[in-house]
Amino acid sequence: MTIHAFTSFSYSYLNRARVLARSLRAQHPDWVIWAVMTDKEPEGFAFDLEHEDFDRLLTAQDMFGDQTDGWLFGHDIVEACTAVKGRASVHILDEPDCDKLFYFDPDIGVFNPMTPVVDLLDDFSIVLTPHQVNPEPQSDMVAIRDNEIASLDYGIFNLGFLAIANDDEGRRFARWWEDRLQDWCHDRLDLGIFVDQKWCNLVPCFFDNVKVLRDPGYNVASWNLSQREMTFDAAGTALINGQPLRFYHFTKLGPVGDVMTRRYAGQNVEIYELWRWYREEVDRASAPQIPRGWWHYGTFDNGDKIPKAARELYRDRRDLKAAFPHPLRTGRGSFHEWMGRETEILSATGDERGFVPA
Amino acid sequence: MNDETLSTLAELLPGGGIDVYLRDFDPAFYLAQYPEVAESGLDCALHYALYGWKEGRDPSPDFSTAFYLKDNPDVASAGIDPFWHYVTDGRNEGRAGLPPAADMASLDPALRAEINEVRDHFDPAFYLGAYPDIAETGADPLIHYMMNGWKEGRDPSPVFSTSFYLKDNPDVVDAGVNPFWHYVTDGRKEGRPAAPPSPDLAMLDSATLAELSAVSEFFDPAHYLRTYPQVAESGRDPLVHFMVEGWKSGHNPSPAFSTVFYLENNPDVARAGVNPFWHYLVAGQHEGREPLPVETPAKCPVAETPGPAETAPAETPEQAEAPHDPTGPHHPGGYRVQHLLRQLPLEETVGHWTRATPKQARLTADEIVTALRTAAGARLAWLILSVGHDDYRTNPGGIQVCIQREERLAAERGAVYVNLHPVQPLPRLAHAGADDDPLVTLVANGATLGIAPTSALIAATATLRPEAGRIDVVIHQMLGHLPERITELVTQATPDARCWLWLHDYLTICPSYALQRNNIAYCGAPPVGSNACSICLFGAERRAHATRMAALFDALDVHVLSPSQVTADIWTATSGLTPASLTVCPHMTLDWVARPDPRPVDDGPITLAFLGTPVPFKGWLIFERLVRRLGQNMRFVYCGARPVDLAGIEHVPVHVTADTPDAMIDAVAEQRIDLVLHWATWPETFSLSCYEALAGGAHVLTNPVSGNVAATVDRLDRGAVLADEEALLAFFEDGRAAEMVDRIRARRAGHRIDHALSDISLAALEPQT
Repeated sequence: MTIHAFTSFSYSYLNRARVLARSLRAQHPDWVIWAVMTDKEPEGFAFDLEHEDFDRLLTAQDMFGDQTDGWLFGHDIVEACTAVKGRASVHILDEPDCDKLFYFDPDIGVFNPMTPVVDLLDDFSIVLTPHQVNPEPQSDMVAIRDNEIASLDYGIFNLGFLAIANDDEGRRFARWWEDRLQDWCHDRLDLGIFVDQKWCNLVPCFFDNVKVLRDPGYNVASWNLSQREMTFDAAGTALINGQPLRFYHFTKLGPVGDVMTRRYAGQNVEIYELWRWYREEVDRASAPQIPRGWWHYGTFDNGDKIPKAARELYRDRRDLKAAFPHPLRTGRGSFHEWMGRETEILSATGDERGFVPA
Repeated sequence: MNDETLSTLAELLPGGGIDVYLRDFDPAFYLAQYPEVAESGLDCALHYALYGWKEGRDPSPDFSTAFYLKDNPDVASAGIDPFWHYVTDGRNEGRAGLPPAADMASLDPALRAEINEVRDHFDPAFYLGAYPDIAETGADPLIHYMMNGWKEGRDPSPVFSTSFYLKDNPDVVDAGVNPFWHYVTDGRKEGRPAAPPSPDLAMLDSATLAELSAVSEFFDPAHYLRTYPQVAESGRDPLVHFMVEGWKSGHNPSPAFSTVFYLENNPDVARAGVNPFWHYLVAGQHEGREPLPVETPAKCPVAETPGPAETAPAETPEQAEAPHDPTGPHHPGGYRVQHLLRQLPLEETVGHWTRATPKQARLTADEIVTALRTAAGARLAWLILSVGHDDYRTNPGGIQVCIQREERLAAERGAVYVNLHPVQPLPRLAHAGADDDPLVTLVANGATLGIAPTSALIAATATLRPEAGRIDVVIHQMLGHLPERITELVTQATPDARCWLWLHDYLTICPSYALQRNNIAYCGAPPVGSNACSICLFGAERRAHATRMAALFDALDVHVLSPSQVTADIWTATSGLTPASLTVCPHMTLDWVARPDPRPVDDGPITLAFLGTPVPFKGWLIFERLVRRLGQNMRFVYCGARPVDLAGIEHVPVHVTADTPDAMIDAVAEQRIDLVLHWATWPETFSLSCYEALAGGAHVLTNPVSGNVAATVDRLDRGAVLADEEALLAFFEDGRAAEMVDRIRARRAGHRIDHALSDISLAALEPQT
């Protein structure tokens, strides 16, 4: 039995993904760990599996071939790195030796063995972790808004984690997810969708053998810290509400994450210690050759940043997709040139919507 | 001041004059002005010479660094320490150390009266912020405005425009009086405007006006005008500007609120389009929303105390947040989190500790041999090699006191006592490869011999071994040493590779020698591969550290000496090391002797004291909270060297030195202290201060983590071990404290307490002779 695990990221998140891979490798030396990469290396940097804790590399190009540029053009970086998760799941489940498949967001750190979930997959096809497993008190309006209402907005399960058994139901789920993410992996709260995550609200409706994992030791993050307390036992094992901490989701490394941690960790000093460790590990794992904010699919081939409005226009217009199958190109006859002529998108400034990688 | 500090100063201030520099430097003033310097652990004068003058700090109330540099461009351009220039040359040349006529006393009485009348309306912070040229001179801002500033068209506050007032009031110009004084005393009563009417105010809608009035108290106009000079230039009312458009441009209404941060972190507020500052004041702050970004981890190097100054975790306590820090942001996680955020990766700390290798000559093995033969006199009957981590003669702390005493006892017994401590202090063991032969300072019978590579001492020891009656090696602390070299030293010095090793702390288990995970919490020495170690800043170092310690214990017959049973138990359970023997040797013993003539029983309020350094890791913050909660009917005393500033606490200055070893015991007795709070956050291996409290006739209140403090309280039944702060408070509130104090006072009236110090290692060594 071989267990596969993957994470999905661009090179600007390589440092975090390395910390994930190292921490996962420490717990499960025998797992096959995949880097699913929606990016191309910046000049001066080479991604070499020989020197990584990843075993295999799967790129967007591998999965989408000639369609890659056109399809990815309709996505900002977060949409893109989440949209590939469906197809990557199907791809890895097709590996002949893959019995069970795990997905972890790159900003997760694993602290204790995932064995209980491996065992759950003997009985269940899909394991999901909700953002929250305990309700907030009625009096805490801020926590209800920050946590529960945010879950209703963005999805009740956190898709930073997912485990799938390679059985019929697990594969049926992966194919459905792939289908949805192909067309609908967007940050469009106005439509009721949020990238790959909100779709999974439907999973318990569409599929059998779904395990909603309510153990507090999994997927600990700012959105559930209000109800979770971290301690160490005498053996130095990290515990969350008395259960071993399996993995922590270091969401939003930076001031925003700090604020939410401060708001909900309160005086739980151990949480701040985890963050201190994580910052130091990410620093150590950073490759100086990768420019800040690097994303190959974030710019036209002349280096200009692609405005979100250009992506939205392109993905909504079949005629444009057909006319310009290589939208990253600039110059005569390009989508870029067309936009410059027919729209004001390229001359508009301040289009900072969408995620800007740190 | 120790030799190293002196020699560093000598390097900084070439050509002499250090005596007069140190004489005129006012350390008390310096520490009072710049309390953060105390945390750096640097000598104040050295701090000033290294950094202080470059940061515009003043070395004494009689010298203004900023003024002197401005007044003496030759000194400024030479880039030399201005205070050193002043004390060695400047003042002899008639140069002034302070700006002239800066004091009220020298002013004309009429002007003095005017100054006093406007004082409450003058905004010195605004003035200094708006006119940095005045700030640089060090002049009193109010005096400056009243004498010159108004004539130069400067404004005394953000709400008064000097030029407008003069322009609008020709009678004031004709009278030649100070316009601000005129406004304060007459003009405002007559309804004269202080500044041009704001064109904005009339344009505000009623909702914005209501918001404006809600935030006005917290808006900092001086800060706003300083930060956004274009607003000042426009002449617009800063508050109106902020309310109408400033916040939309991301302007901050005060240093305590970040508009951009608040909007970024509260998307609901951003979406609602309301003024974020108003939102924060009326709602956000009550909902726990943050006004400012979190403190980022300290990357800025600060001079730190190299090496543990005490047997306590020096890095943790000595740099821990000062109990009172009105200026610092308070982290909801408390002082431990604030301290955590300042932690650097271990190797970065090592980098900050690393100094240039001294140029002084190294002693050779032959020179060491000769020096030790000379120290011995006729024949080297007994040589004791004592391994320490710092200069025990100048640094305070429990280990240092032990070594001092051991050295004196050794001399009385005719031994030559040689202490070796690393020239380069480190917060961990030295790393082989980086430095295979660390330089050590050698001190023989209390006098410095010089510095030498450890190998020279090893060679000298090998030479002396045939002629020496006996050589013993006592390891007190190995920080900064290479344990492989210490192993070699013991092997060369003794026929059976035998040494003595003290458990003053837990360095044999972890480089975090007080077992403080991330320098903030007692960890109990879990297995190296545990989660706790993996996220600890000492975790990676501990892996190799443990292997090297195990190698030392394998290679040598290590006779372990523990100051307490509780420490021996912790060590046995967690170290994984096998000693040749393990002996408990307490540093002090106490004996209660019945008084032949009992003295009267003390009366008066319960007296609770805190002894030693008032730092959080010893429970100072808890002591402060007790003072606030129980203040009415009790007396609170702080016995120690560092001044504290909290109403309700009496400060009894106590300095324990080699000459006055009983100073703390005497203070506890004289002050008739009933209870001492000793809330250690690590398992103390002995705790002299606990014994001092008991020897002075008090009982001790502590917690279960405190190691030998709790064990001693339990064993002697003198005090209470309380689970947590809540239990501590309950102990006072439910009457148990009062009952205990009655017993203490009765016992004190009938008994005297004798205390005796141990012979440190000598007690263990002597039976071997």
